[in-house]
Amino acid sequence: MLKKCLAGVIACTAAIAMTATAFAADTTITLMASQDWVKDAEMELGKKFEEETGIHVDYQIVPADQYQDLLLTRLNSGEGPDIFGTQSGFAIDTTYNVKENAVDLSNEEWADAYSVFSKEQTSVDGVNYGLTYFDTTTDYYIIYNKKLFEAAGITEVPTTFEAFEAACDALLESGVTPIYEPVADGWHQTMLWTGNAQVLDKLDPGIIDKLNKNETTFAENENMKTMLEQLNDLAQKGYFGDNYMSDEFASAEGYMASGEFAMCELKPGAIASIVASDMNTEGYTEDDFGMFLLPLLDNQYLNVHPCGPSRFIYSGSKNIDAAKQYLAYIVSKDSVQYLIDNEPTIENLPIEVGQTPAYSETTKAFLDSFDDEHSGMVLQDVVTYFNEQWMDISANIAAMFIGDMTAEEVLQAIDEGRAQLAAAAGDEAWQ
Amino acid sequence: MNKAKTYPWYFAAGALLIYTVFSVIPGLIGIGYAFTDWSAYSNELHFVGLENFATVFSGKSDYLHYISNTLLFTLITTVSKTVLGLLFAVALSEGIKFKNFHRGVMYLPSVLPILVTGLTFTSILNPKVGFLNSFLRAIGLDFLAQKWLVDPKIAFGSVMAVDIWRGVGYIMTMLIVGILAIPRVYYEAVAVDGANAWQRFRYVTLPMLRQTLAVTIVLNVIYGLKVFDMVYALTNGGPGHRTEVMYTAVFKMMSKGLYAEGTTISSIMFIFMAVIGYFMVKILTKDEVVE
Repeated sequence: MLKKCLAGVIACTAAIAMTATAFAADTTITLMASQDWVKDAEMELGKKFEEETGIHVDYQIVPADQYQDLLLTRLNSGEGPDIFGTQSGFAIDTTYNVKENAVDLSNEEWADAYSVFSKEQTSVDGVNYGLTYFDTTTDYYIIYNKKLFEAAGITEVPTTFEAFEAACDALLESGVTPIYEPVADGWHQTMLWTGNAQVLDKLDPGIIDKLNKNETTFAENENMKTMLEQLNDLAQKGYFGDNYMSDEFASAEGYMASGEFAMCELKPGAIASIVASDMNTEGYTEDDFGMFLLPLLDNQYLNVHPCGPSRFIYSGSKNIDAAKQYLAYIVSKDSVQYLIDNEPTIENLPIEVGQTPAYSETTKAFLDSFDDEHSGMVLQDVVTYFNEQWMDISANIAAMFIGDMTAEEVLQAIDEGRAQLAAAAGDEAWQ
Repeated sequence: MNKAKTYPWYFAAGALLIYTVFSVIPGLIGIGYAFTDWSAYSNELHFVGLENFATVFSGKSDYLHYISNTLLFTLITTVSKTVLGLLFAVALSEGIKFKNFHRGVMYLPSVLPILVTGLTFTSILNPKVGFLNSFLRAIGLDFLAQKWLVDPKIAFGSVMAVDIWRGVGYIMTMLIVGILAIPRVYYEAVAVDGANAWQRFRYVTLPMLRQTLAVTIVLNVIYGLKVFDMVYALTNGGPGHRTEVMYTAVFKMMSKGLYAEGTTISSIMFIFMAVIGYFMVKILTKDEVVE
């Protein structure tokens, strides 16, 4: 009887051990991200990672306009994915509460190779919680089709808002829609404004500091109002075309390649994708595209944006080690180079592991044309309680385009949102 | 009523206990949180009285617009689903070939997950490359092609139309069951009196369907008041905030970590729905015969 019992215990132990081994081999980690944050090349890396480690990566890609709501709901309900993506910056603390929701990654092997600027944006109180896995070495600029500009008689890129509108009129007359503006995704339209708002601090030095100390508001600032009114002007004058409210970011490169649109606010790496697009029936080459800054308020200061889609490991994950293994894998030299070589929109990553960046001559020349004096951080990276409202601001800007809100009301809504978030966070400046 | 055939109260005790623990108590706690400053940004909780309710009804935010959208959605979809559901139910009750096939086709949309329906229609209704506009242009009806989900004038109508399409089959099925339960002798009696089809419907079908209609109307009203997923999937409240309803606002508040504001709106809606539901059942069944 004793032998039988012993055999039973051994059999059970063996079964449990085998099951445990099987779990280890069949581990699946979930990675949740917004549309366009996980590139095809990364998914290929995920397959290689699975071949080497047996850990399967389940990529959960969510439409951009629903992502923030969904992620916060999952985090707040304690059902977060193993790895979650979110924009770095102030919001990782105030909105996503990474001190509680994410794992400390300060001592990972790749920590020293990670860009100090990006690390600053994924850290809270000196502890790094994230990894920016996006090309933050460049930002979004107006990518334009030189041939369409020439055909419309535009000889120089516009550097003032007046010249920009004149160029748009000329393009319209030549039968080309000036700007592809994907409003449907619910995020891009805000970037047109904030990505060109560096000029605000130059025109009114100290404005950012005053906003963060609650000594002034967005609605009080005439320059802010003018910028939004100019943005609205672009929509009202038909420069975005007829379908901008339903146009999607994923189609931007295709429509730019078709020659139907002359401009779009994109990353420089998009030029290679435009040229490679199936919709490039006109035979455009990379030399046919250039870039300039959208001169809202005549802005001529380069937008610097170290914040970007970043990866965080959920503190409640049961697969923290596997998730760390995945992050270590995708930042290895081979992986980073693979991503740069296979993803046209990625020219470099904010991690230095000996890779060779893929900046085009056009990108290099454009970036070199701005010195530090003529550069500035984008609005969402320097103003508190702003990035958290990104989707609301985008919805309000869309409401402005359809005439439901004025520029002033959009700014007032931002102020109300900031006050609400600051009050919830117990910010003394708002007490 | 034969009291010997009624079950003792404790037969329902298990269900009541589960319902109380998992539904009533969390609901009451939720209402309690509406009087606090509960949020994801602070671990401290303070009593703030009616502050959150004052914000909702202050008119500063767009809540009044969301409330009117919600009520409009409820009214239009309830009336449309009930009228269309009744028409289809009468038509498919008898005297039609392949009626089970037709019933199945009508019922099919309501078994699809709402999110799947919403995402499918987002594609169908795309103004540039969507199936509907492509079809209209192909048959020469270009003037009917619209920006279905992004034109501020018609976006909310499109959302309601998709919801009516999805829900009418379910209401039809409930009403068919109600119609088939009407004893045939009533129809035979009015036939002897020479009643035509309209009179049969007006004086037999409709009165005998009253209780079923009451149930479907209450279900539709409650569904309409708490609509979320259809709007979320089709427009996410856009363009701008044109199609925003109460529960998309709740979702956005909760996901921003502003839990107290979210529970405040939920609490208001809960009380509103409970009151509406109670009075509707009272009114719609006031002539009900009690044995």
